[in-house]
Amino acid sequence: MAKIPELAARSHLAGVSMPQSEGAALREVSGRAMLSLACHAGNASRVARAFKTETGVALPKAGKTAWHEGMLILWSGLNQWFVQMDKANAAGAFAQLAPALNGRAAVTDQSDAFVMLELAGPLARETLARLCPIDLHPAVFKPGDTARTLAGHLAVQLALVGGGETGPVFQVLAARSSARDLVHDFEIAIASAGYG
Amino acid sequence: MSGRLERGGLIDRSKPLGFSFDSRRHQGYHGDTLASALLANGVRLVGRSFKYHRPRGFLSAGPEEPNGLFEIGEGAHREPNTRGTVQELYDGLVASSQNRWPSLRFDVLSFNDWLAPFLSAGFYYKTFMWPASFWEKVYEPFIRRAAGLGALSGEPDPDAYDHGYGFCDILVVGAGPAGLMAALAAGRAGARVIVADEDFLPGGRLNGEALEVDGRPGHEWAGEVAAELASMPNVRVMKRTAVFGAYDSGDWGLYERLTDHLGQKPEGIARGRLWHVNARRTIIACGSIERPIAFAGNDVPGVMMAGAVRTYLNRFAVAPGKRAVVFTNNEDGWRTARDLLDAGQEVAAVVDTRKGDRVPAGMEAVAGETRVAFGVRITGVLGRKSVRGVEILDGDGHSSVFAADLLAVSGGWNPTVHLTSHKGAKPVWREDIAAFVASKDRPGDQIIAGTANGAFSTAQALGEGLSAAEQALSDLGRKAPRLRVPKAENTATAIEAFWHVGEARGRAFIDFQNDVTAKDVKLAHAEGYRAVEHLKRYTTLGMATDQGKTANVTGLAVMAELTGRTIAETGTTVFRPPTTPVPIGAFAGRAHGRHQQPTRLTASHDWATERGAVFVEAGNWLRAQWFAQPGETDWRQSCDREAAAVRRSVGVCDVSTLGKIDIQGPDAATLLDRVYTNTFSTLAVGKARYGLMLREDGMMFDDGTASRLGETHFLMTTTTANAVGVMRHLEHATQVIWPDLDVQMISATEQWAQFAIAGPKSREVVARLVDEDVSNEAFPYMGVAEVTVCGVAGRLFRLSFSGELGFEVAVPARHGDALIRAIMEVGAQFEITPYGTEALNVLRIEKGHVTGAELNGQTTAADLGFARMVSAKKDCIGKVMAGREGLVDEDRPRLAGFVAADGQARLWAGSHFIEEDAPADLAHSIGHMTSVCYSPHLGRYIGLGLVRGGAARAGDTVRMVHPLKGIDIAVEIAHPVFLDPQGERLRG
Amino acid sequence: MRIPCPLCGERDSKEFSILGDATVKRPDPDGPDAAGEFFDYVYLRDNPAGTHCELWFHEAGCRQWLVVTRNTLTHEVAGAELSAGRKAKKR
Repeated sequence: MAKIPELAARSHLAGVSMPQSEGAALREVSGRAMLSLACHAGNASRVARAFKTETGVALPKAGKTAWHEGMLILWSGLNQWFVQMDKANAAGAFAQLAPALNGRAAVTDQSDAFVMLELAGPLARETLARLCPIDLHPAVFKPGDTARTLAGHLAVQLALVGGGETGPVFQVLAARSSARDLVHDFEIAIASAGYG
Repeated sequence: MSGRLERGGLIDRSKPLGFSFDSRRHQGYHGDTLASALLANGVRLVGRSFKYHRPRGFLSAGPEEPNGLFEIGEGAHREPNTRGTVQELYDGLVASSQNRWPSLRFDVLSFNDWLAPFLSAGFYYKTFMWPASFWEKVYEPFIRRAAGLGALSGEPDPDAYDHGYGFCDILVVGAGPAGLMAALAAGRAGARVIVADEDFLPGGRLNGEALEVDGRPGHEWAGEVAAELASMPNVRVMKRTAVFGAYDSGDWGLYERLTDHLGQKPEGIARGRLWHVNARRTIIACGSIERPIAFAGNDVPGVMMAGAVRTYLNRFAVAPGKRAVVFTNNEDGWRTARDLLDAGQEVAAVVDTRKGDRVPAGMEAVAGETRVAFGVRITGVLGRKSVRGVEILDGDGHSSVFAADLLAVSGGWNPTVHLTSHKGAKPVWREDIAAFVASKDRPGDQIIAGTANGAFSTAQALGEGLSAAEQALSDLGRKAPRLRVPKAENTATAIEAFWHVGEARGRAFIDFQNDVTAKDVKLAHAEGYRAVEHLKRYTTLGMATDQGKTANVTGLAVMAELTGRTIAETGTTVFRPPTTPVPIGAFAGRAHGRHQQPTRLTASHDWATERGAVFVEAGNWLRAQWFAQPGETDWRQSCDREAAAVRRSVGVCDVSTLGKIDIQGPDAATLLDRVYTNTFSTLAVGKARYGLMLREDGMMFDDGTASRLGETHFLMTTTTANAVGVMRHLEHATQVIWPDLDVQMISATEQWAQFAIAGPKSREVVARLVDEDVSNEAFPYMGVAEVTVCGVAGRLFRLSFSGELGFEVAVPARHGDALIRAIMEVGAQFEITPYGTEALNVLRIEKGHVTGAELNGQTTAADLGFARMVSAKKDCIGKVMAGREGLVDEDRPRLAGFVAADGQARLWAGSHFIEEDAPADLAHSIGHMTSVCYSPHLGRYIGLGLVRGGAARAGDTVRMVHPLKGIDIAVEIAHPVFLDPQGERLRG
Repeated sequence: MRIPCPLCGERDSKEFSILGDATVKRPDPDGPDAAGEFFDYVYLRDNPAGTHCELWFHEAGCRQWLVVTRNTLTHEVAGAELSAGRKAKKR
């Protein structure tokens, strides 16, 4: 039986033009994988130790992120984290973590459940203020912070992952199926961010 | 320009602007409002009143304006009921008057004024009743045409509206003297401040008065402070922004106008922005509104608020008249006389209602230049389209007439307390200033300052602004800066309350916009509508677009006199947001039309579009409903073809939208046992099982299959519609009901793209996609396995909703598009047919499978034939309540199949079933049809439904009755599984 | 209205869905009057004018069920904790 070659990957935003202005630009981040890690009852400490041993990085506290050699960890809930890494390293990371965490935490692939976006630019905070009902003032939402909230009427996870002279860089995680709608909302927010 | 003064004003005379009103061209300047520009051009008649169509002119210079309403703009942008006193002038502005035909000068409906005795308050409770048949054909159309003020464009709103979320330590409402001082202090203290003002020029009353602050013009001081505030990075100055509502937890609603003042709207910019601001403390410094006095003829164009006259003089360099009479019950009205005289206009008289002969301090020059009289009042106005003269009655009963073209009235000031009352604290009456002020019971985060607090002098306003900021800063643990209160006047208002002139002949207006007179208040009192809430609704006082800002207090004061109660006892009506009109589009923001809800698309969406799919909304998802082939003109052709193809050979359908929940942990199986009616702890690894979920009230909630991927690992599926609800239900179960369960769950709906491949040839297709052995021996019915799908790690389920041999293949969603194309390529030799939700529905009805049409929230497991799936050995959610007497009643309609007795008639979902010989009414209904389709396999319509006796009555005839369609036919009850009842096709 | 989620901080109520009274407990299905107790549990609620404990679900946030103490008259929220019986698992 003739075999079909390996299935190509396709972004849900393929063919969608990403909005940008001098104030802020939205782009899709590709090539990353993401696992969800959720501790089983009474295992939080053991999971933390095992994770630190295997990866070299500590699981962050509520509302925080941690970064280490290409791996970005976002706190995502009570004793729950999203662990992001390059797709190329994902199978290896999973193979390394799974035995260490066996029986102690639920590990689930969420690489395709979310679209990973980055919003960057001097008006990135103003842009998000059009959509997200949380306080993103630099004194309140600092580098390394993360929050699960709404953007318009869609649930997202925000993280302040970078920044410099050109302004802050936010990661925006959003459900895959409604990503086109989210980009549409960002189009308008980006266009209006500096006005008025 | 007849009204424009040669010098002065805060307008920019270097920028003339052209505009038109009722097709006549005029000129104004940058900084004018439409009102000031019209008055500068000598245009006084600007509207016709709502009910009586009386000629009206501008009463005020601010957002409280009741009379000067215009339609601004043309085409789809035309906006009715725009206050001319708020509309900024721009070059090319087109304005029209409203509520008149054929013209403002000659309005046919002004005959209503002659009918006034029949149109008084409450007339519509007593008229238009007879004959009854006239209501729909005569009265209502007439009323509709006559009612309303402006007219909508009739076209969809072309403007976009934006939203914004703001956070601050201190929100300052109003940028007048109190607000500016407060914002300055808070800003210098380093707090995060938002200061918002409805106007386009910060300064509040300082812009309208010839008052000094620290020895220089008040508006100059305001401009300097505004500039300093704008330069502070921790302060946001929001002009053209109304704070319209106070909500819970320190939340405030603001509407920022972005383009209403621009002739050329910039491309892609929203018209306005709705802000949701959360403030830890809010300083309410939104000023006060001057109130009129009610007397006969007080609505003739040329009768204006005294403070408004000063605003036109000082801010806009416009004299609204050449020879004025001032009518006042307090010190403030005298300022108008002085400002008019300083501007070179004539003042014929100052009519002061107060007793005594005391000329206010500093007004001696005024008394020298004009006649002043105390203890007198105005009993009438000469002129109809314009003031010509004024009738004055003195304390001895002598009447005299003064020629005048302007009558400036000051009945006192009402602090703008609306925002403080939105959370329920009613304002309290202060006798000393004859005004309502904010209650002390208002929310603790609200601090009031300035005239909004009844502190009417400039010095008091400045001082209160500073102390309000100091209090707010102290509450927030911040140090206040050292700030000196600037020097300013500190005159007391010395008001003696005077509401209306009793000796008036003719109508004295209280609510100008809704044409409510003092006589209407008396009528309401006479008819027993004496409570202030009844007064409002019976007379419509306060119910117009201006919300009675210049009417409410006078109205209830008149009622208080009539009832003999005090104003404090009479009280006010309830204030609710918004305090000012906000476009409804602003609340929607971007969420309207197609964007009112988010749209969810599956991984195969683009491929399906290429294939000619017609989509249906399934919750927020778009699902392919059918795939139109060239030559197909009716959906039935596509649907019949697709359903037949599945049973004949093989079809493929995207089933990604069904909810998928990944459940892991030592207590995963226990959880499933507790939420499903049947047992899952006995399910073997690598197998799937159909499960039923109940609500706690015993009704069916959802169904789906759950697969065991490991000892402590399950994957649950739900219906598309209930995915979110089931997830919430499970998280409630594990966090609230049984928090000791050791189980974790996460939604996997989006992670996996999943396709059903169904039909006799389905195995052959699947075998070409998947590395593993999928023979019946290796992978029997209801098996589950992790497999490699075209080189990608995926999952395979041997499930069938269609009743044919079937599989569901899942891959991570990024590969979904490639997979559907691979399935089509591999299946081509088997004539694989993509099928949509319509064909899916046909297939499942043929097999008697239930969906949301049967799981309608009113059916139990027993109703749908699932009684045996409810395990007797264990509890589950809903088990106890499902045992209620009414829910186990044998007479409850139960699931059955239906066919037309004549073999061909069309069946209709929603029809009721009636016994053959019973009357066709609701009392005799024994059930209803839940799902219907045309079965290409059986060549006839079939249906599923609920009927008393259920499938046990197979062979019986009943009637299917649909009164709305006039259908009443005989149908035969059948077993709900029309095809392959033993399920042999599934298991091969 | 703002709800002080113990994990996420104070958030706008639109991030949550509300279920209702947090003081009702699912009865013992094997108890002597299970039918009567379940009826009350499913259908009967007190509607106090004043302080009330309610279950809110932080659906767009951390997805925790919270017990929120709120005054039904003034809407003042006194506090919120993770739902009854559940202890935040310490490290």
